[in-house]
Amino acid sequence: MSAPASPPAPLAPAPGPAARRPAWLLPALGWGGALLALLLVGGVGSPFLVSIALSIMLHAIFALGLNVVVGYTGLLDLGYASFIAIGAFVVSLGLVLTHQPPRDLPALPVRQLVLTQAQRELAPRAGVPLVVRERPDLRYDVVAGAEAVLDALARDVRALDAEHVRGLTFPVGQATARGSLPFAFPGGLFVLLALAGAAGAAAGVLRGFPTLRLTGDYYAIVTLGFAEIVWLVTLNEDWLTGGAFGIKLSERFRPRMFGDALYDDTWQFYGVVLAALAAAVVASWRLERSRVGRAWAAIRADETAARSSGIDVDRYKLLAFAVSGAIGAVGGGLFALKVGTIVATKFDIWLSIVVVCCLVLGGMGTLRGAVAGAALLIGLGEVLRLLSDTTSLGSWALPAEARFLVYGLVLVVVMRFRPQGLLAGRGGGGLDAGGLDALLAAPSRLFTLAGAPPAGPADAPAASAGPTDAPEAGAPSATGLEGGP
Amino acid sequence: MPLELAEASLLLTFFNALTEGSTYALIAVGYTMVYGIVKLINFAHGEVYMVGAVTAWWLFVTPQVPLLAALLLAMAVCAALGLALDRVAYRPLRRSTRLAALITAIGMSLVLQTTVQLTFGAKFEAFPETTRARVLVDGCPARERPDPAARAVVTLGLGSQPPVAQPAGPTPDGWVPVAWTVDARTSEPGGPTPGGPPGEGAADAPTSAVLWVEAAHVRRLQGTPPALNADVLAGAGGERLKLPLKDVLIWVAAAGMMLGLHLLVQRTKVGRAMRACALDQTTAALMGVSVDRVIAYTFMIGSAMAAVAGVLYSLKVGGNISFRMGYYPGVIAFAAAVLGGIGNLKGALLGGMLLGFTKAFCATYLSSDYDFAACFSVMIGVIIFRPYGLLGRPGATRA
Repeated sequence: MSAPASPPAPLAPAPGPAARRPAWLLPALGWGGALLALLLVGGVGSPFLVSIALSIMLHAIFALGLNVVVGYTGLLDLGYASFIAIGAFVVSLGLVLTHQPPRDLPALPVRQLVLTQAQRELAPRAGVPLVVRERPDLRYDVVAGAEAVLDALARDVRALDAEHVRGLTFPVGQATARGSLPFAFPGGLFVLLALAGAAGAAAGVLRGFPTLRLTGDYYAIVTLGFAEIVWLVTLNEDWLTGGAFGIKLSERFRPRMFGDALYDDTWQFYGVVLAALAAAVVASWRLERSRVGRAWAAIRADETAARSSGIDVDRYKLLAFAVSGAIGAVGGGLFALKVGTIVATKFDIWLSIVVVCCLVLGGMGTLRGAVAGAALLIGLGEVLRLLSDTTSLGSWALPAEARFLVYGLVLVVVMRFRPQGLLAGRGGGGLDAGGLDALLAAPSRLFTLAGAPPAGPADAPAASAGPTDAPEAGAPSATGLEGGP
Repeated sequence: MPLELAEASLLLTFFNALTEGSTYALIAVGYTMVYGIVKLINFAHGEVYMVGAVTAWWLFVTPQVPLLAALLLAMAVCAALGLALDRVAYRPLRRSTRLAALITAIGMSLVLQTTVQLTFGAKFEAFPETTRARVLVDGCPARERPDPAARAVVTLGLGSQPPVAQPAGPTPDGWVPVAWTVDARTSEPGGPTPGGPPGEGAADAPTSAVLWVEAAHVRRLQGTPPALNADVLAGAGGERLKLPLKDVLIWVAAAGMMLGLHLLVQRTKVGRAMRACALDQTTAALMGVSVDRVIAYTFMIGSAMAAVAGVLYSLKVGGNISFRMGYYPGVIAFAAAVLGGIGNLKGALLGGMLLGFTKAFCATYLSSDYDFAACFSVMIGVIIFRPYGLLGRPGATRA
């Protein structure tokens, strides 16, 4: 636990003016340390540590993607889970629908299968009777000859448990028969991930168009509404997504890499996820330092001002939505491979909120905040889950849901005492985007004078933490939508 | 009058729509008042609704508080909860950004939900009833049976649950299994074991004697008043359609509370202070209005009304009381508040009704899988195309 949760970014205070260290030293140490820790866990960590590290890395990717919209353009997205879902379903459907059986199988419908005694004993374990008797229309029709099927089953027992058979209502065999793309070849995963990213970007733009004029609360609620609709569709359209049973990525569907099927306990998968995280960090960093990133910062600070100084606000916002959606969808594709069974219920509002929570904890608008927030929060959540699995102190056992209590408290407490996040608040220095500090520090115009309670020392951190580079006008949408005061 | 099935279904949908709409309106009032004054989407408001229902259910079932008292206590608990939310979570952020406040509200929502889940459990509960909606004795609705015993069953009550299969006939203790569905909680151990649906079992039971026994037994149980649980509604056989009393109760309560709130806001001093704060807090404060106190009142009133909505709606629906029950109504009610024009009380009523109708009619005539999706679509459309709502004017917010 301690290794992956070790802060990937420096927790040490900013070097004072007297310090002679170059400005890049601390960030470099932080990121290098994080990388080293992740490599170490991947190399020698126990399976449990590896699993936690994977979880953390995936959530860090999500948080980085969300950060593009929430941190850079200052819009709160409460529907990020839909991008993750889109990526997960693109990848899993891509793998499952286009799966090709070995070519040398004779095409014999399973309905005519005659089982030997030994096979008959094997079959129930693999779920064959269910397939054969109850759903002859399912895939094993096409897949084929008796011997070959059962051989395949013997190799792949976990592919065929009852849940899978019930859940997978689309006839895989037909797709196979049509001879479409198989993605199980070595580089196929990357093709699929690219497709997922494209789908996520497209979804981001599609959702972005109608919401271009929205800011603040209304943007948040509309994204939540879109996410609920996507969620309901994935849950109810079970011909496509398997509905409440989901899609199971069994061994046959897994892409192969260096000889192994890509399961979440292989070093290959770990490497892919780590590479994806690194790519997300580097891409965010480059973007943030580019003209695009400066345009986003301007939009975050004041949309009207940005527009009037010649920034094509709509285009840059759409770009942010696309980038954010793409990162989320790629992460979602990897998430699909990690969890193995992709069920719509995994992508509900709480996933969105957990990602927001990671970002808020670490610091919105900072790369290290996104990564460290994921490490802290997910690490903590996994520890709580571990406690709930293993301990029961007397009659008191910690239920797994307790971590959501922690997540909620994190949101409340961080907003109350350190709204810029644990690792933000220092201008400049390495991969630092400046954060939402200015945004959060700018007192809402509505309450500048009015609500001022006589004793307001608690407001001090929020009010005083702003760096100087962003104008006060950063308060989201005091104008416009609600018609302003 | 006898009704065709289609007519009955239309009427039922209409009633449902009114009920859902009233519920949403009652919740939306809390959103709209808070938003009108503090400009905060109180994301935890749906959880207040949930806490109201859970509290009343617990009071009603465990210490067996009478229903009305349970309702009032739940209102009080929720008012206190609203006050606490404001104090603990929102007030410290008054001078912070609205984004920070929204995130805090989401956090409080998570905290409340998980707390209830950890204490109450991840289960679904319903208010026990003293009457089952339809009791068939010998294939005939018990209410229409000539023998008084069967009618007494209907009046005094049979079951809290929908019928569950049971072996017919009395147990050695003289209990008829039918009754068991009711008193699983109160009956002493060693009684008959609970089991499946009597449905027909009720018909098979020797009517008079045994049914009297269970009726007498049932009387000891605290259930919802029989008057609320009167026989409902049309079957395919052209049965008579009666007004579902619980629905009527919700309509009346919603109308009454909305009227009361309207009077409160328009006619009283507190109401005037609220309107002043909604317009301009600075000026209101300068005029001597205690803004914090007004905001506290707002939270308390809104929360109490959410509690009423939660309790009444769960009375009607049955089996929906759980830690999750607040999320969808909460979001839909927020949509209702926006739809009507946020900050506008009449708008909350109008928006709630419109969304109630959207949901109920979508569920009946289009797809019950997508009834919430329809509501969300309406919400998105309204926010995008008419963010000031139906009754609002561009550039104006008021309470």
